Amino acid sequence: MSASPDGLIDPEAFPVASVEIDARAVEDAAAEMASLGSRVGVNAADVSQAWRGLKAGYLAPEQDRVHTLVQPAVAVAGEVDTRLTRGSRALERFAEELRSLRPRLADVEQRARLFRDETLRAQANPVAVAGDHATDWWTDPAAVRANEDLLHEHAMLMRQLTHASEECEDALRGLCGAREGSDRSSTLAAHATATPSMPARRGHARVLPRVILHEENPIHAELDLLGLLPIVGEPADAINAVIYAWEQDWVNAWISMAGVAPVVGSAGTLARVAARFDGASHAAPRLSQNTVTHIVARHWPSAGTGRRVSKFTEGISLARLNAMVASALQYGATRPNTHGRAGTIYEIDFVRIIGVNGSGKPTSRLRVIVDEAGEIASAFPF
Amino acid sequence: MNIHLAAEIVEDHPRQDPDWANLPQMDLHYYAFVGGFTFRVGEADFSTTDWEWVPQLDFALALRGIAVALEPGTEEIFEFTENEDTIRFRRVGDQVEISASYVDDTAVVPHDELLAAADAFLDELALQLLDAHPDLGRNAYFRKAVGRAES
Repeated sequence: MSASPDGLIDPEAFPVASVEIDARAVEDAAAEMASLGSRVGVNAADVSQAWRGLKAGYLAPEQDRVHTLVQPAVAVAGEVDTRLTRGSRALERFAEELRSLRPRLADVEQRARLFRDETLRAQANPVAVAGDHATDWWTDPAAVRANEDLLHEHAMLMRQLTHASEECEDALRGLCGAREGSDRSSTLAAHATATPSMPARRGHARVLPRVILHEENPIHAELDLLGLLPIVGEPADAINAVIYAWEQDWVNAWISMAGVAPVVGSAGTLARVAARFDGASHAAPRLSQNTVTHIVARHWPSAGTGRRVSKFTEGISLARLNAMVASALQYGATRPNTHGRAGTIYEIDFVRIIGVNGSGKPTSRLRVIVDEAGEIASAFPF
Repeated sequence: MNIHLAAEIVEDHPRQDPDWANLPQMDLHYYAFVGGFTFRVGEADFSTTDWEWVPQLDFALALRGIAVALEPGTEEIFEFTENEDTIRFRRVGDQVEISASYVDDTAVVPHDELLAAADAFLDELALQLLDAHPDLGRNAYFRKAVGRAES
């Protein structure tokens, strides 16, 4: 809706405000995506070498499968580079559209605000403004026509914005092998359900897609295992971050971006995901090997721990856990940890079931505990 | 005394021979000394003896913190570290109403009695842990958190 209940245009009800359109942030993200793609290509050979020395030191439930799959994954790195470059170009095109749309939307907002103020003033004070006849605005044909023109103008801009956003979304979905436009409607539907629980900082959230759990792509299922990589070092980290993003999170993050969500303004979306794996950033929370071990031992479907402990659903992978944790950190509601425990609690509702809580009831909610140093202490369905 | 508190530890730490003197705060709250506790108030039983994963030092520290923080008319909630369960403490005058999400029982206990029981529980547990792992006595966070229990 772009109007108040009586049909009068209302800029405050616009689903997207011009100030929220940040073409520069999309440009930056495009550049970052291109740069990361190039790093992947350059470092692929180093990853291969690093993994050769890992067999003695790498411990995880899926270690054998990981070792077997490393080489094919490295081979995929070149393709990742190409696809990320393509994604970067799609984002550049989208940024260009945004640059053109923003001033036009600002103009419509300004004229709509002016028109609305004048119309309401006339209605409230008919003698001073409209002569002796007290009139409701919708009884004045000129006002009705002007209102319709503004609404139409705004609708056209929104259509253009939606189209640009969908084109970008399709291009990005195409990067990970998904059918273009295949599940946009379900994404939107799921998001609409999730929106009320999102923090207010999401701004005009109700018509914009948000990060939800992305279906794992069976074609690349084996690559998910590369989400296990925090111990290998810089070259492998770059690939891990890319594949993780490609498979699990960035597609949705980009979709959020395509919806002109305020999150675009935080240039750290990409860097944050990547930085968590390279250990260089102290600002980005990290999933350490110890934490992964803890979560697997306590909350994995196979965990044998005692009563009333929550567990993830069958089919959880470490890469998927990474994606969920990243989403919680980016979009979850936060509160301080309780009763002498340091750090922060992040909580998010993924709309679809991710596990069972302590009572054994299916739940879609994830809680993540992060200490003051940025180490993730635990993550579990609740 | 109407309150019975006891800790049963099934695992000191997931790593063998951790560096107790330098174990981080989060380890002490989330990973160390897990098991279950007995917490009975009269007939009401809030125990978690068969849960096997509740960090006991964390619970003891939180319980004392809650007992200290409870002012008349206020409520404090203990959140378990690895699930959604809670124990609620609501102070009405000099009494504290206790309820939990995982049992139907409720209890009412004098506030000073809860405070004394929580203090004693933490003292006893801290001494037990120090006996088992003397290096904990050099752990700065442990020393600060358990306060008077360290001596």
